Amino acid sequence: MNDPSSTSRNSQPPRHRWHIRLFVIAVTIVAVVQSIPSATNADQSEGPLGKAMDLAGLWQRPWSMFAPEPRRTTSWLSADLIASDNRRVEWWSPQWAYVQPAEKFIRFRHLNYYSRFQTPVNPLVVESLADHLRRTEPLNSDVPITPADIRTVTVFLNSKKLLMPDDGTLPNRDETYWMVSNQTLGSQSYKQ
Amino acid sequence: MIRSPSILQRLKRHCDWFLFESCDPRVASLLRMVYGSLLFIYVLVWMFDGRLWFSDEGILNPSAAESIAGGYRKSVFFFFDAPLFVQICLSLMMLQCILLILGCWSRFQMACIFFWLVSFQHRNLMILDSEDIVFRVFAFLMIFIPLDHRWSLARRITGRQSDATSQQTWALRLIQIQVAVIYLSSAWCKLQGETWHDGTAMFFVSRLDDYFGRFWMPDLFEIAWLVRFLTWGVVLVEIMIPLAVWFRFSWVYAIAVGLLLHLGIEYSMNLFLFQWIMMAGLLSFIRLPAGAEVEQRHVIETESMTLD
Repeated sequence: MNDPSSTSRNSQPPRHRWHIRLFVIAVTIVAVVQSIPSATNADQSEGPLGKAMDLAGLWQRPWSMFAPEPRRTTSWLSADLIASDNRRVEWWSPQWAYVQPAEKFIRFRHLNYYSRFQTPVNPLVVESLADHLRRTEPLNSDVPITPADIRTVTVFLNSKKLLMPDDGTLPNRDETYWMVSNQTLGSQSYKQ
Repeated sequence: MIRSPSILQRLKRHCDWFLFESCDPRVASLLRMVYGSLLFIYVLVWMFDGRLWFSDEGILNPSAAESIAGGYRKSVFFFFDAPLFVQICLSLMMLQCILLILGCWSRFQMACIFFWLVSFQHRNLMILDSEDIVFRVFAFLMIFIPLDHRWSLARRITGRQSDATSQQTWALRLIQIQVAVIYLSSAWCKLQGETWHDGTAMFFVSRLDDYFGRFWMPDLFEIAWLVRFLTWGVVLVEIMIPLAVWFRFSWVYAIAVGLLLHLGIEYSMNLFLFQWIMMAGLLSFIRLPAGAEVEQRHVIETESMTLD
């Protein structure tokens, strides 16, 4: 660092400076404590510090960018919207691998939203998505159907997981094997 | 007889120099404009889908939003989330963002922006990632910085000169500390993973076809030695930057390496504004050459010290 000996005079009142010093120390400690990765940090908002920071809007978490392990699964959502007379509307979330970079930039929040479903989500989130699809998808569909006709919305999580060769080599893109799976996230029924 | 200062006094002296005598308020103004410009894009993208993400007619109803936010994360949009209200608030936030870029009562704008960021982010945690935390925390810290010191339209119109000095710019240090914490935490998290140890992590990152593959690049991620080099290189850089960036002899190299890292990720991955807000964070470490104004102030301070 620079040599602090070449200093100028202190014009701030000493009391004011002490407040600032304490504030800087407090903010630094809070930032460090919240950013420390540990086995028990799954929900750091549980502790008193976490709750206080949540309330203040100053929460942060360990900065685990692609850590501790990059995920090996890519997922997308789909949904079946079924009317009382069995007419059916299908919905698919975007296949991001085929979306242009400019569109990905503009729709980045969509990308984030659908990615969140790769980890377990609150059932209320799935219900809310189902409600939203019921309100909007019949209007976008070629099937002559109205939102009021929809009786059931079932949301699925579709995933493909990267499989590594047993010999530990890194496969090139064309020789990569994926295991595709599908699971039901939730089903929401609506009365007439 | 002259007594040498105690360790405590020397520590206090260094601390005072670090906080009150070494931060350049011009850097704060530069940071204000860069941050404001990034936030402009950030809010603009929110505005395209404000109704979808934040309103009661959107994809996440208020009860689900409150449920995933937990009991302590509050938002004004838990109570008022009609689409029109959301759009008005986003428009107001955009206006304040423009005023921030122009340097019009920037600390007030920043306090309001912090409020908006907290409210909108808590309303829909499903669409967030790390960059949102950086934007929010920076907004809070920048409230304490004299942002309108230079390049300020309000100062130009009113004709009032800024009297901010390094003494009022101490919160710039908090931004620098936050940036250093991010890099160190990221490296620490990576060191807990097996693939970051065996050098294959970047291979798996390259196969995330939702985020990876922004622009064309040859498929180099099957070459084992190169993947190991990149994997370990990322961890090394994330450890090196927060250590080297503080020193006069190494800060330029640390920032240059950091910029290379972020521009490389920006080229290859779709991570919205994360790389840019981190580069803005690195900007807080730059040391601008002393301008005529600073030299003049230094002369005045030196003279007053002599007189004292």
